[in-house]
Order: sequence, then structure tokens, then C-alpha cells
Amino acid sequence: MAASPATDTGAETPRRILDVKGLRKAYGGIIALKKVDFELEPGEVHGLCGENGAGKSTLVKILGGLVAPTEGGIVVDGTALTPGHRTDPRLISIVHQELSIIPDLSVLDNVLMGDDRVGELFLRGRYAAEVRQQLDTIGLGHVDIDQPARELTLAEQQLVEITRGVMRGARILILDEPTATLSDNEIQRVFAAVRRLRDKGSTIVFISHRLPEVFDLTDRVTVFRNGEKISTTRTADLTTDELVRAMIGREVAAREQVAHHTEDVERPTRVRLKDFSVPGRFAPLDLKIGKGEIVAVVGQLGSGADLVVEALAGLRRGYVGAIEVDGVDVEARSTTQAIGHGIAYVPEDRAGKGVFLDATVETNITTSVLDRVTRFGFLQFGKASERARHLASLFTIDPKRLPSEVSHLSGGNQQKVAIAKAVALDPRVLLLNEPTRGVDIGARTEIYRQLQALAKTGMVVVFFTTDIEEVHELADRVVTIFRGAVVADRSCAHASMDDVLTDIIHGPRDNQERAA
Amino acid sequence: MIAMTQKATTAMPANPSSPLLQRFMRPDRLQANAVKLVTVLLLLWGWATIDNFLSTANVNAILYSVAAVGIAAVGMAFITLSGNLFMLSMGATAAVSTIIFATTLHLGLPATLALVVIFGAIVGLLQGVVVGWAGANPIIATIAIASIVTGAGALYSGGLTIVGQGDASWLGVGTFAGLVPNQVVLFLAIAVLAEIIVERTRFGRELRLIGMNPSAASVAGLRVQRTLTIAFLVAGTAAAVAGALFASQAAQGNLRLGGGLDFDAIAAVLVGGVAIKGGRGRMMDAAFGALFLAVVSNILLVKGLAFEVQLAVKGLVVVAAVILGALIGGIKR
Repeated sequence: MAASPATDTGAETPRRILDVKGLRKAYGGIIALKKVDFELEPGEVHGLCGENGAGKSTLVKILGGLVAPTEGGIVVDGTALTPGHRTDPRLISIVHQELSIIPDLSVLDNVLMGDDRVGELFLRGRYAAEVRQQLDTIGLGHVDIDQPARELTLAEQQLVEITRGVMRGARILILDEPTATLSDNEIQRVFAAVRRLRDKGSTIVFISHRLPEVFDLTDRVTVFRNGEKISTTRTADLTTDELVRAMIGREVAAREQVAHHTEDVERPTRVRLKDFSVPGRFAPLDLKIGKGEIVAVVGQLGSGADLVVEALAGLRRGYVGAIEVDGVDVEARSTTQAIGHGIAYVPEDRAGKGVFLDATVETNITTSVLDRVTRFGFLQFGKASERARHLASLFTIDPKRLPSEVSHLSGGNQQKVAIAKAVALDPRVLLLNEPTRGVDIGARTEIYRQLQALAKTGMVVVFFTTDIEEVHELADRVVTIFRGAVVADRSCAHASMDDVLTDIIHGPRDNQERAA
Repeated sequence: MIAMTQKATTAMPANPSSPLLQRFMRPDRLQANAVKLVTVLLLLWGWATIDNFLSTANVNAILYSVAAVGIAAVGMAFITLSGNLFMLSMGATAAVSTIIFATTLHLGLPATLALVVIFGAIVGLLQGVVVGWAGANPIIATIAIASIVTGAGALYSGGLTIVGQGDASWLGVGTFAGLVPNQVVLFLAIAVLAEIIVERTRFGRELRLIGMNPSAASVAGLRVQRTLTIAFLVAGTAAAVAGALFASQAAQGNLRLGGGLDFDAIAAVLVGGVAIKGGRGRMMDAAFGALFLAVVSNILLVKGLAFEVQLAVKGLVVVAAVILGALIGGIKR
């Protein structure tokens, strides 16, 4: 340690604010990072790209000190980090995708949460002015510091989290998919804040699966693949195709080819909703869905669009109206009841509700069909494993992974397991809430392809998403909900995504339509 | 940076190459395997340093002390595995079971045992309904039920020791093939049966999955309420059977019998390597945990240490096991 660069601080401004050398991390036999070198220049916005499992999250966890590297060292602004110890937030501060805002605390308390300078005696007033100023800089000038965080929008809460990192004077701020749950105009607010911070000299690492955002915001991009650093390039010198190729190591079919839309065909009705509503959340709606149709239900957060999917799945026992599947009225007052009628559901919160992280892939895939692999109460392991193998192959999960714990898989593979688990039921209706949130391009394409293949067999697929590209690539039809009411029902073959976006953001446009 | 590299290289041998060692070191099985190894080492050490440690009399003493606690521990493991921490009514259930045992012994041992089992099943079922269906906190609910059970038992017995009118010697002192105490045979049978049920049946699979992630279990349509209810029913029954074992040794019933059973069972479960947060561990681990604690107590006893010291040591062992469990959990992530 004596020979470490910690000795030459202060002499001159280091050109690199972060210097990662020879970083390696192995989990048992699985290598998550292979000898990675990585550096940041002060004052840049640096994008991290790569599919899930490429090594981005491992790098971030190591930088935050949450995970100790197997080998290698990290120097931040002249200070060498101690492996496996939580990194001083004044050096590196990480804003995670999952918000760590406490809704019942005030904005001020949320910003100061965990700040070392605040002693045991919590003297709020002492920092009020400073917090006020930081909030103003970041674009939260209209927010009252005494307001409970609950009253803020998601984007504002995200900005409060970023403020927390800024308050601690972090040399490097890492934003891990800060936009994953935000709508487009909310994203622009976060971007404006990031640019403002950069102009004030902060160094920012930006992680996103959405490539347009990467091009929009970053100065340089580093691409990871299979635990290796592939390249670091100035963003301006890069095209989307080059970036995608670097990320997945091969050409992908162009968007237009992936997105295939079955032309409008007459389909026998499979699902019919009559006066279907969750009182107070979305208004009664009538919907007919044909056999084999893939329908996207979209809307801003809080619009109630996600609740349509949840209510169908049996998660809103207080719904009113009727659900008809194949001409028969069914009740979906619980998940068990919904499953009994052939309605399967893939929730949005993968780790919390979608999969059993500590169980093996095989166990996960067979959880919803335990009754079908049981005889006289005893599990038939041969039968179970045969089923699991079949479903794994449908979703291109490596059969060698069947005995490994799901927690060891990448996000994309975990999502495949979550979907395979639902598909194992042979459902008549498959519901998905955010089918590919946090899933990389490669896995996403595979998931879309398989869902489309399943729809061809007659299965109805209904999904909620906040990702407009997903509507374009996966759905045959898109139903938009604005403030609890259906404002548009379009066929994807005819609608442009700009139309859909306008539906989502503006809702009914009476005057425009009158003009047309 | 240099230090970091050195640390990494010295850490390498921890990743063993031999498949047997690798299986032993698997993070999720490490504690359970280590307890078994330490038990064997303790037995060897006792044999080498203590006169007559492995004499028939002393081995019998160890076996008798493990049987009742072991059965309760296996029952407790159903609750811990399901993610509901502990059932804190086991001592009370066992105590009242000794009264029922003594007062009904004149009906003959099989009928007595049947009544005790039914009592335990009802008490367990009650808790299953309160926790599994009504969603009450397991700790509070089981303490409350313990209080009800003890109160009812005290009213029924008048707080007196009840001497059984009948012959309980088959269970109390009887041996299988003149060698192994029947109590121990019963314990082994229950442990093996529980292991098979949890590892090989649909109920067992559901129990484990619910313990791992209750929200995912309910989204997947698992029979959460039914499974939890059965788990509590099994645990209550196990507590009652443990009470029958206590009562049979002197053919007596007393509310003081069974005191400390809750903690002994919890200790066995945790030391054995069943994860406190649920979903991880096996029934046999709890059984081995009980054996380990019985061996430790026995060594302290024959070394001439006071009961109070034994209590303190038991407490220390549990604290160490919980810390070890947390550390292993930390390595995994």
C-alpha cells in the first residue's frame, strides 16, 4: 500500500479521476469480470453499455465497495480504495435503479439521510440552506424542503436521490439506470440535471439500456461484454449499429425485421372484458381480444394501465365487471383463481415476486405446475426436470444452467425464467407487467420471438409497458389509457409510435380531432 | 493495490479442487456440514480424554437427552423453513401434553399417545389458522397461544404433579432389540420421515419456496395458507410427542416438564444450519443440531460443570451459529 499512488496527491491535478487496474471478480467458477482496466476523466459523462451479465453491475458493486474484487485495484482521485469496504460516498456515490427514498420523510431528511456530517443530534436547520441551494441547482427549485417525499413524482424522487449524492460532494456519481421507470418528459428533467452537474465539474457514470439516451447524454462510452471491457470510445465517433455490435458481438436483425406485425385478420374472440374496472383506479372498459393476439396496454405511471393487467391476474380482488374467456364468465379474485382459469401472470418486480432467487432454475420453472409433476403427493423428479428442460429450451436458457440458482443468472436470463415459469402452465391468457425491464437487447429479442411464437398457437398475450419500443416490437395492438380511461385502441400495423406516445402523454385531443 | 493482489492469491486455496471438499464447502451447506464434522470430532475427543465416555450408560444418557428435544427441533424446523421464524408455544404444548399423558395413561399407552398427538395437532392447527390464514405475526401469535395452553393446563391439573395409572415403560425405558432406546428409534423415524416429506413431496417443495419468497409464492399460485397451516400442525404435534417422551420416563405429568424446550429446539434448528430467514436447510440438519447440543451438554456434565455453565455454553453456541450463518450469507452475495 505504501507504494500506491496515494502518496502523490495534491502535487498536480490528476488527469484521471478514477483509475481501475486489472479488476477481476469470480463467483466460484463463474467469472463476472476478467482483468478490466477502466478510467474516467474529470468532468465527463461516461456511459456504460453492455447486455445483462456483461459485467456492468459487478463493476458498479465493486466501485461502491459492496463486493470485494478477486484481484485488482481502484484509485479514486489519488485515494486507493480498500477492497470490500463500503466506499466513502464523498469519493463515489451510487444512485441505484431502485429508489431508496423514504416516502414519509421530508425532502430535506431524505437528502441528508446517511450523511456523515450530520451528527447524532439531527440539527436540520443547519443544512437547510445548503440543501435548498443544491435542490435549486438540480432543477427542484419548486420543491419545498419540508414536503414529504411521497408527494413528489418519480422523476423528482430520482432527482432527490441524485441530490443526496451531490450533497456529499461525491467526486464520481454513478447513475444506474436512472430512467428505467420514468416517462419521456421526466427523463428530460433528469438529463438536464445531469448536464448541469457536469458543467459544474462532476464526473458522472451513466448506465442505461436505452441507447438513444446514451447518445443523447454521454461524452464517452465503455462497452462490456461477457465480463470483458470491449472498448472505450468518444460517443461522437460512434454509430448506433457500431455500439450494438460491440455490445452483443454480432449483427442483430434491424428493428424493422424484428418487429413483425400480423396484418389485421379476423380472429375468434378469446377474451372479452365487459364494464371491467377497478373503482377509483380505472373506469369501466370493454375490450375484445382475439385468439393469438398480442395487446399492449400502455399509459403513464398512475394512469391505471398497469392495474388493468394486475386486475386480470387476480391481484385486485375488488374489480367489478365481467371477464369472459372462451365464452365462459370467469372470476379472478385471487392469483390461484386466475391460474385455475388458465390466466398466468409475470409480475414486474422480478426479484421480489417473479422468481425465487435462491432456488434453482429447474425448481423455479416448475413452481406453478407442481400439481402436474406430483403423484400421491410425491414429486416426480424425472417428469419435473423433463418439463423444465423443455421450457428452458423454448426460451434459450442453457440447459446446463438448470441446476444453478437463479440469483447467479443475469437479469435477462432471470426474466426468461420468470416467463418460462408462467408459460409452464400452458395458459390461455399470458399477462406480463413490464416484460423486459432491465433486460438486454439479445435476451429481449429472444423473449419477443418466443412470445410471438406462443401467440401463434392461440395464446392471448396482454402486457403493460413503459417502454414504447417494446410496444412497437412486440404488440399487434395497443390500448392506451389516460387518467383511468381508454383514449385509443390502435392496430400496430397502422399506428406510428409517435401517435401512441401522443396518446399516452396528452390523452384525448378533442380540439385536434375536431380539426381533422 | 499490492496488498489486494496478495490477499486474492492467498484466498485461492479456499476454492477447493476435490469434489468432496467442494461439496462440503458449498456456502448453503457449509454450516450444516461443519456441525456434523464437529459432532464427530467432539465424540472422538470425549472418547480420548474422558473415562467411560462411550460406555453404554453414557451413550444412553446422550441418546435419551436428544430424543425429545430432537423431535421438537424437527417440528420447529418446519416453521423456520417456512419463513415464520419460531413457534414459541412448544414448551407449553409439551408441558400440557405431560398432564394429558399422565391422566389418560390408564387407557393404555397407544390410546394415550393418540390423544396426546390429537391435542398437539389441534393446538398446532389453531396457530396455523392464526398465522397462515389471518396473517398474524408468528412470534406474537405463538406466545399468546402458549399462554392460553398453559392457563388451560393449569386449570385442568390444578398445578399439581399427576401420577399416571398405567404402564409407560415401553416408551420410557424400553429398547429396540435390547440396544437402542425406543425413544431414539421414534426420534430417528420422525426425522427421516420429515426429511422425506420436505425433500420429496409437493407440500415440502411449497414449504421451502414460501420460506424463500412469500410474494413470489403467492404470485405463482402456491397453496400458501394450506401449507403454512400444515406446517404449524406438524410442529404442534411434534411438541406434544416430545411431551409424551418427557412424561413417559416417570409416568408423571407436570407443567414444569418441558420448560426450556422452545429454546432448545430453536438452538438445535439454528446450530444445525437451518436459515433463520427461511427457505434454506433440511430437517436432518435440525436433528443433527440437537445431537450436537446433547453431546456438548453431556461433555460439560461429565466434566463436572454446573447446569448454569451448560446453559451459558448453549447460549454461546447459538450466538456463534447465528453469527456464522450471517457471515456465510455475506459470502454468498
